[in-house]
Parts: sequence; C-alpha cells; structure tokens
Amino acid sequence: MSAPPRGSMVLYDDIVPAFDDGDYRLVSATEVAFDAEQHARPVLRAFTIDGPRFNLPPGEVASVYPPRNARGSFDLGLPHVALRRRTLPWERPLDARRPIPPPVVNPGDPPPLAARAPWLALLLFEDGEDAELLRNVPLERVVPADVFARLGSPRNILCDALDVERGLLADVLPSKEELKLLVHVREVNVEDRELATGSGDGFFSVVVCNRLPSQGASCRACLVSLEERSDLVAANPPPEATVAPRRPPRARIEADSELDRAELRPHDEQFVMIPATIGLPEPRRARLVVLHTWQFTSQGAGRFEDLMMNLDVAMAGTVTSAQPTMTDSGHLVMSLGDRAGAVEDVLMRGPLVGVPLTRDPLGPYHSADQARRVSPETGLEDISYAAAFEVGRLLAASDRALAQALMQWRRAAYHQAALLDHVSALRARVAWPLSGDVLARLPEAMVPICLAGALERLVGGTGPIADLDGLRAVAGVAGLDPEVVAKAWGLGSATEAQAILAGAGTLGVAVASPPVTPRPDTTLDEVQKDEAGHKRLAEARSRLLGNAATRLGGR
Amino acid sequence: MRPPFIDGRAVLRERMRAKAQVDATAAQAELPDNLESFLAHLRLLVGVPFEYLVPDARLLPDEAIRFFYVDRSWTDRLVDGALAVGKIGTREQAHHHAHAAPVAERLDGTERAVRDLQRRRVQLADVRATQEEAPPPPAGVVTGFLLRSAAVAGWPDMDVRAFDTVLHEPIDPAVAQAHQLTTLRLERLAPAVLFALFDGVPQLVWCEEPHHGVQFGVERSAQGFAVPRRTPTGQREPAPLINAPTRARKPRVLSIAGLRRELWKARATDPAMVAQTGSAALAIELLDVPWRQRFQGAGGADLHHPHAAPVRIEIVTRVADASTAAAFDQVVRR
Repeated sequence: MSAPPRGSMVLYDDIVPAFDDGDYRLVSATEVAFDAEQHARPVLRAFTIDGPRFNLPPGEVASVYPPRNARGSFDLGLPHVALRRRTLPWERPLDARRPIPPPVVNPGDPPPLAARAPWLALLLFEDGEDAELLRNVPLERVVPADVFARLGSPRNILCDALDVERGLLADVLPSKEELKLLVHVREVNVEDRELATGSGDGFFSVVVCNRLPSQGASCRACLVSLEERSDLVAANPPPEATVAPRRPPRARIEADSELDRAELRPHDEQFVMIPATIGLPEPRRARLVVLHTWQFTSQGAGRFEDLMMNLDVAMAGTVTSAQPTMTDSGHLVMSLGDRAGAVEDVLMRGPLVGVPLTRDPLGPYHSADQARRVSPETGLEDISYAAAFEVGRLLAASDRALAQALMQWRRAAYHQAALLDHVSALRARVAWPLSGDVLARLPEAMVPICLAGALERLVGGTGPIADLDGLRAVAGVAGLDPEVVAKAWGLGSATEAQAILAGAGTLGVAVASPPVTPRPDTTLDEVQKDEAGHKRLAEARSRLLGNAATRLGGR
Repeated sequence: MRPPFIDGRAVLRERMRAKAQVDATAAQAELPDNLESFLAHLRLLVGVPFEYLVPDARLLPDEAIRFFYVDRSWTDRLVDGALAVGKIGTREQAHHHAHAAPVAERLDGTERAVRDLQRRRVQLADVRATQEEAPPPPAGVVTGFLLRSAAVAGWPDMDVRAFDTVLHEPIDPAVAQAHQLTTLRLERLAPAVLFALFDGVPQLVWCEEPHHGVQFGVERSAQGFAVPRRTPTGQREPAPLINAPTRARKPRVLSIAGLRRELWKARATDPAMVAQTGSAALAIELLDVPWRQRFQGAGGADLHHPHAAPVRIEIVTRVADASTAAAFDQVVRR
C-alpha cells in the first residue's frame, strides 16, 4: 500500500487487529499414519498479545490538540489526541459480552454502525467541575468489583484515575454509538510536516473529544479507558437540546454551569426524568482509568480569520491620522539637537520604505557625516543614512569577537602588503636572476622558490670538470714550482731547480689531460651484436665455474 | 647597521600605487567567517533596534500590516558603519575603500543564506562552497512586511509564503512551489510583531493558520454550532451550514449521534456530500481547515487588497471504497 501523496491524507473508520490483546493457546496437531496406526502429536503453545492497558507510555502519544499548557482561542475546536499505534483503540473490547444494548433507532435515523466500538474516549473537564485526577491508585479502587472481575482481576496494577461526579460524567461521556464515531485512523505522508516527526509509517489513530472548551476556561483533557465499563457507557446519548429556543451566542459565553441553569428551566420535566432512569442505589461518584491527560486554557482574541480579515493593510510609511508628520517620500520629521546645541527639525526614514529605491552607488562611506544629506525641497537635513551608519558601527563595536575578526581581516591584508613592498624594493635593487614568473610569485613563498631554483640548477648539471685528473692543481703546488724551489734553496737559476725536480721538459710545462674516451650511450641491440664481448664473458664465466668446481672437488 | 631594504618614503609610494593593500582575489582578502556572517545578518536588519525599523510607533498601529521595500542604501550604510569600527587612519580607509565593492558582492550572495544560518541548518563554509560552485544571481529587490496583530501572539508558527504571481484557488502545489519567492527572514520581533523579508517583489503573500496537525472544530451559527458541508475529498460546499445539535444539559457537548443524523438527512438531498458511513466520514465533516489569508495586488506591485480564501486540503476517503477490505487485509495481516 503506497503512502498518500504529499498534502493529502487518507482516513479510515477503524483498523481492527486480527486478535484482541489477551492470552492465547495455540494447538498444532500433526497426524501421521504408518503401519496402519495413527500417531497424533499435538503441540501446545501459549502466547500473549499485550498492549497498553492501564497505562499509556507517553511515547505512544504522537500529538495532542490543543497543545499541552497552551493558551489560545480554542473555543471552536474539538480537542483530540493522535496515537502512534493505528490499532490501539480497537485492541480491546468495549464490552466483550455485549451488555450494552444496541441503540434505539428512530424513524429517519441512520442505521447503527456495524463497526467495532473502541475502548478509548477523550473527555474534557473544565475548572470548577467536580472531576478530580488521582495518581497511582490501585486498580481495585478504580473500577467496581464486577468490572474488575471481567478485566481478569489483574494484580498489583497502579494507574491514574479520574474521580468524577456521576451526573457530570453521564453528561459528557459519549454513548457506545458515539464512541465509534469519535475514533478514526489517519494516514498521512510522512514527508508532510503534519504529525510527521518520529512516525515510521504515517498511520495515526485519532481520538476526538465531543466537547468544545468554553471561552476563558482552563481545561483538562483525559484519555480514558472504557474497557468493560458497561456500568458507565450508555446505549443512547442523553437528550439533545431543542434547536429553536436557543439564543444566538453572545460574544462572551459563560461557563457551562451557568448556561445550564439558564437553559434548563423550560425542560424541567427532562431534568426530573434523568435521575429516575439512572436508578436510585447508584453511587454518587465514578472512577475511570486515565491513560493520558493534559491541560490547556481556552482564551484569546477571537478567530484567526477574524483577526486577519480586519487587519489594516497598507504600504510602509502610511499613517492613519495626520500624526506623525510625514513627507510624501516616507520621511518622518523629528527634532534633533545638533552639534551647536540647537534643536532643529530633521528628516528620518528607516530601512523599510513604501516605494522601490535605487541603490546609492557612491559607496563606501567612511563616516556618518559623509552620509548626511540636505533635502533640496525643504532644506531640512536627512539623517537616515547617517543613522544607519551609526547603528551599524555601534552594533559592530558592541561585539568583541567581531572587532577582533575585523582587525584580523585588516592585518592579513597589511601583512601581505608589507611583503609586496619588500619584494618590489628588492626587485628594483637587485638584478634577480630568476624568471618573471618566479618573480611574480615571490611574495607568496620566497623560500620554496629559492629551493626550487637551486634544485633546478643541480638537475641541469654543472658543466665539464676543468681539472679532471688534478694535474693542474698539483702543478700549482709551491714545492713543485722551480722558481720557488730555486729561491728557497739558494740555487743558481730556475733551470737548475727544474733539473733537480724532474729533469728538463717535464715540470712547468702545461700538461694536456689525457683525452676522455667518448662512450656514447649504447642500446641493448648494440650490446647483443658485440660477439667478441659475449665470447669473453662466456669464457670468464666458465673459468669461474671451473675454479669453483675444482675447489669443491678438492675438499 | 644594515640599511633597510625599503624606507618609509618608498612604502608610502607603494601604498599610493596599490591602495587596496592586497588584491581582492588574494586569499588574504577573504573575510573571516564570523565577520561575513555578521555583515550578512546586518544586511537583513538582524539586530537593528526596532526604533530604527519603525521610527514612530504610529507607523505600525495595532492590528495592522505594512508591506515595504528594503532600502538597499540604508543596509549598505549599516555595513559601512560596521566596517568603520577600528578605522583609525588612512590605511584602514584605503583598505575599506578598495574592498567595499567585492565585500558588497559577496554579501549579496551570503545574505540569502542567513535564514538557514539562523536556523543552524548550514555552516558558512557550506554556503561558500555552494556559492563557488554556482554563483548566485546578482542581488535584487528585497521586500517584506511587518505585522502587528494578536494573531501573531495567538498563532505562533503561522505559515507565511510569498509568490511572484497571483495564484488562483485551487492551488496546485507544484505551481505554487515554482512561483514561491525565497523567504529571507521570518521572525517575531516582539510577541505580537512578525517581520518577514522576501527575495523579490511578491504579487501574492499569504499567511496561513499554523498546520499543527489538521484540527477538528465547528463554526458558530445563529442556532449555536454548525458544520459546513464537505465532499468526500474535503472540499467545502457553498451550501448552507448544517446545524450541530448539542446535549440538553451541556450546551458545549456536541451530540455526535445527533450530528450524524443531521448529516445523514442532508446527504439524502445533497449527493455531493460525503456519505456518513462511519467515523472517517464524520471526521471529514468536523475538519477545521487552516485559514489562509491572502494579500494580493491587482496585478501591480501594490499589496493593498486582502483576499481571504480558505485552504483546500485533499482528503481521500477510501472508507466506502471496494478496495478497503483488501487494504485492511494488507495492513493487518502484514
């Protein structure tokens, strides 16, 4: 079954569970026939279907209306409670053995409903009525003995109870037929805002109250259990008020009790008849198991639509009377003590204006004075924007964290600006051996760029080595210089020293470095073509192998 | 002592050449998060004292609604004022001057996320990320209304929507969504004062009674209480109301059986009504749909004429349906 589309909902009369709550016995028998014998092995299992009965966990209640402890104009709304379990109102029988007779059907009445009667009802009591809420009462002291027996005499049950005067209860309690009409199931799309929170499947059972709260009354709504309360639930509702003599409702409706007295005089015979039908030995009070209860106050200024329809609708800057003095541009004329101490009339307009305005392109402004204007028509000063500037400044200045953020924002910019200044000064002074791209990125990251440059140089190579064999360096040593030697040793001439050092023609002569054998890069193919090399390698390998074998063999 | 690379004179020259201190696109020019958030809130007048919004109480009398355009110059001055804090010299001034335009551009985007920021649905970082992916269109006209009424105090969380075209009842939700203007701000400034801002110029604004679940109720009539006639889909019929009888001893206790009888009788002559087959059908009759107050102009930009139209809700009853049994089976025996 797919969920209803968004914005719509599906209503059901009832959703009756397949089984009532209670203890069940399951008998399963398998008959096996073999060897012409019958073997029956019945299996007996017991199970219990359990649900809320004398207490209702608060989590089972999805929502209540009017809201808990709310104040508002609820005098035309029927209180209701939405429960998360769609089957809850039908999980228990109202009267399992049907002691409540079917209702009397007068000619012209609709046929009675075949639906199952729910065991829950929502009752509303107002302040000053004879109804009292009791907490944690033993069940035996709540229901009469015969009802307790029909409930199965459960032991050690504490529940909340409503202690109410019997006549009052009879006046507000729905009849069995009405109970069926006051409970239904609502299926909503869980994406909908309504009742959507925490509901898995979008089904709610809704119990509606049959009583409207009086204007100005503080009320208590009670979700009560009527399971097996055939002593209280009537087959037929109490008599209806006749329509014709009813006065039109007044602006203030008195509490029920007052109206009762006023309205009941013409119906005295009815009033007399009622106690007779109840029966004389009935106790004066009755108690009911309360599953959920909440309070609210019905008071308010009327209906939403009345308030909204009577609104004064206008654009901003509209005044109903001549006061206050407004210009047609929506400016308010107000007096201001100026710097000189003189009081002058000025124009002031808030940010909310009745006509579309163009945005001032002359920004930004650096002081409130910059934003002061003079109206050319009246010569009055317009302080609107100056006031805006000041209120913005004060709001920002009052926020310490904000002032810090502002400083942080500026400081980041100044820091960066200082860096840029240094870089440009350096560029002007030093002939920087870096490319333009690198220079442009200098302020971002000086060190990484220098490192990158150094690395580039390393990778690019350092060129040929000048004194590969070190001969020139050696030749430069003082002890090998013939002139130094001659001078040091007091020789006759440098030639003499040269002869002593190494004979003629070797020292002091520029020595040519031995040519470096060019070794071009070779490829794998060329290596493979080198037959002689391969042969030499093969020989060397066999020789090594021979040596190894000889050693191993000799041991 | 080593001479400095750069002296004061050179610095001044550089600063004269580059007033922005730093280019607006540089990472260092980015507004700190809480500064950007504050300025965006300021743009939508968050925190501005009520006396500045409404300089004289007589401009917003009791039980009145005032529509307005937001003066962008005014909000720009607010931002200028906020950025003037700690502005002690020409350096700050030059910095502000150079960055005012990029900051304004940035706030034009951020101000649209203020409502989400206020409700803590998003972080500013997320807003920035989405705006970098899809830059918002340039800022347009911001409009709104101020409502001072007992309805604001009595019905908190009323549903306020604005549309760029006049929608006619019945309203298709998809069309309504396509034409809805973004609500930039919706806040109660005082218990009885509601402040709303919209991104664009609305042709229709409506305020709906809050939808705290669909409620049940009756209407007042000359004879006491009455309920309207409704079709099986919950549409209200224009035919006269049906009297709701009450119990004789308690005039505010509805006689539910009597109400069903009256509805049954009315249905005999009015087949468009929902058939009284059970509690679901009765619930449809008792439904108290939220009121929708419409404010719309005659096509222009003025919003002077209120039009009330009750909300239509779609209610489908499958109670009398042949498939009901099958549906129940699926539900119960699943």
